[in-house]
Amino acid sequence: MDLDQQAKLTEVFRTVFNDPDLEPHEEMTAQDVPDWDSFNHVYLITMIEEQFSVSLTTKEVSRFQNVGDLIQLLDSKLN
Amino acid sequence: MSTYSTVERFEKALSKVAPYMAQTVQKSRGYAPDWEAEFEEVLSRLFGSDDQALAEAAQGYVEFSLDALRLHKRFEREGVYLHKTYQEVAEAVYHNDAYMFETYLPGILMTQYLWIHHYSQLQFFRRVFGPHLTGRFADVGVGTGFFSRQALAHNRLVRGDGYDISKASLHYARRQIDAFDFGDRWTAHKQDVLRTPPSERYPCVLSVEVLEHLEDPPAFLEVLAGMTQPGGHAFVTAALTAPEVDHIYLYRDCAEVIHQLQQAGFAVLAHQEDLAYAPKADEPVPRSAAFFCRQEN
Repeated sequence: MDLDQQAKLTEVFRTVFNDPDLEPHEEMTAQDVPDWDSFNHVYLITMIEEQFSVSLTTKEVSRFQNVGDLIQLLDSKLN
Repeated sequence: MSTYSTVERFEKALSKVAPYMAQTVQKSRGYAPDWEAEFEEVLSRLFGSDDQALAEAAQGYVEFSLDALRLHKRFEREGVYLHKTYQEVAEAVYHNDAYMFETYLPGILMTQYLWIHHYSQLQFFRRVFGPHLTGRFADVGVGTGFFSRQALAHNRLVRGDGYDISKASLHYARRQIDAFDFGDRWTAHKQDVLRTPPSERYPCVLSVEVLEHLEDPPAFLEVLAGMTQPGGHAFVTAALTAPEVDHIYLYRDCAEVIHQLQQAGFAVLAHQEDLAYAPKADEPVPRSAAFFCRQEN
């Protein structure tokens, strides 16, 4: 994931979780972010699909444990 | 060891599979005083000490729930369900054993306890339909076998016939009913009642989470009415504005279901509508509607 893509991902996280200071990092999980529940998880996925023009299956998005897994998944779709 | 150790193991498995659902079990504990004892019984009877099976059930629930939420996002934008015909979903869902056993059936079973509107529907079933359970019942569209099992547990003298088009559903239902030692009072029938209506008429008929899966619910309700003895009782549910992968008939309100039930020959004696969650604004929230009916013909 290049720097532009990282910046875009950060913006998505900040929008979804309504936190302009949020800095997603690879080890971050839902436990670290207030309001990261299943509703916001789906909102996050929807935003990522829109912003990165990718399509993610439910099986794929149900299995990432942290932001690092998400980045890895996105990398596999973008490359 | 905790009294509810299997629930705790499931809760851990769910948190591990989907950290964003870590609070799901804890929130559900508030649904009813005996919620956790009930959930413990079903988990322990179905999965016992098998952590792998418990983790797979958690994964099935996560995928089923995320599918429903993602489809709901789409529904908010487009106002229609993804699929319109039975043929579109039959091969992808009902006759797809991998999807049925890994995601669909365990997912639905877990929602009976973890989705407030489903759990509330169960309480309505026990309260209004339970006292009328007598003799022999038909469960048309058994799904996981959850409501057949509830009927068999509610009255230890009743016997039941379960009808479904899906071999996987009947297999899963049999497994659940056997796990509760009710197997000798329940018979599975792989039968499409629309094409081949049973000749037997029952004092009690239930059909839960079926109508929204059909292209022509009124035709199905006529068959249900034909299976119910005059003066007999039926428990029928419908999902309203609740997109799921195999929901094809869009009900927007209870009135439409009540009209169809009346046209088929049922009097609706009581009904209950439950929301999946409180709406934020004017958004369409998934709802479950349940109807307690009497056959009037």
